[in-house]
Amino acid sequence: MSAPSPSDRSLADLAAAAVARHLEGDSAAMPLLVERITPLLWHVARAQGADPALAEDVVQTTWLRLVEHVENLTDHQAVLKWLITTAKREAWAATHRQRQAHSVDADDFAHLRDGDAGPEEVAIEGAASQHLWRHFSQLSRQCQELLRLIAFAARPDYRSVSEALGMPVGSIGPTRGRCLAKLRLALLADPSWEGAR
Amino acid sequence: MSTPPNMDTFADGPLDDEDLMVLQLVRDMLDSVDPMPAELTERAKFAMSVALLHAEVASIVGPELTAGAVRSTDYERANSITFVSGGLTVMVTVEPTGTDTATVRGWLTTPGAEVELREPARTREVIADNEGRFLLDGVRRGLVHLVIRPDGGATPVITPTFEV
Repeated sequence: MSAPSPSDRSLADLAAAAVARHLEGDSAAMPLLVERITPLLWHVARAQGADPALAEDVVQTTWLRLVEHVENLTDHQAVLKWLITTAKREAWAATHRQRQAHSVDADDFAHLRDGDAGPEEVAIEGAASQHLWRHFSQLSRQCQELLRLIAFAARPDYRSVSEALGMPVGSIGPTRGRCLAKLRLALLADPSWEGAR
Repeated sequence: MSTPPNMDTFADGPLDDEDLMVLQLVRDMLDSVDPMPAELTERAKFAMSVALLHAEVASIVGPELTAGAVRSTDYERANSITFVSGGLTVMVTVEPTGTDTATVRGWLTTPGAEVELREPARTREVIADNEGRFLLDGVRRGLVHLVIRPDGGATPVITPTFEV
């Protein structure tokens, strides 16, 4: 089996080191951090229901918030969690503002799905991705959000991610957790999955 | 696996290689279903640099006006770009010196200014001479920008990202 994880280098460690180097005057530290963590923040915003344009704003605002607050963040190990929490809050506020501006009188939770394209709306390349999308999109919204983020984090960060999402710490890492277990069982029960991947 | 495992037992089990592989497939799937805009990272880095420096952003006055990064094709890489901000004008010329590197020659209207080149993974500084000329060699091809600090502590000026 090939090495599956994109990186086992903890993003929380990376963020802690980058902030420390930045405060020592290293101007290359923050750009590198932005490069590594922006994909994760994009998915934080998208999972909150922000449309792509809004999600871009949310990501940029989150980084600007870090610039504003970096000197007050005393626990550098918690910077990753802070970034996820900030992006989530910004995304929630931005989608809320957008909804009010458009005065959409809809079900309070309907907007949370606005950013999610249904399986029939998206063109997915590759049989494995198509199968996976079908099972993934049947998970609860909370599970989708969790799996979305941990897929873009490193294994040591699962705890930071779950804490930032306000999920019980035991719900992921070091154990599999219910969300990943559900997806795995759905794939196991799908006879076409083995052939697709 | 012949019998499906019990949900609770399975959820409490340790992460295994198969889990990590499924997460990688989820990542690949999301890259396909919901790709992050390619320029987002560059834009975020740029916005952050501006905020960190309290800098003024120079505008591009030639040869091309593009929102976001100035990208050119391999056939017509921008050889020369001019930026202006307030009283400062900067002109840079890019000369490829190999497949991976180029020389950036510049001229600006505030002699003695400090010119910082920001490449993706490193930064370096030169001082413009008495006539406002500066030279940066061995620049790795890719997206870069310049931060100019005029002599005497005036507000720094940052150029939009351009391609070397």
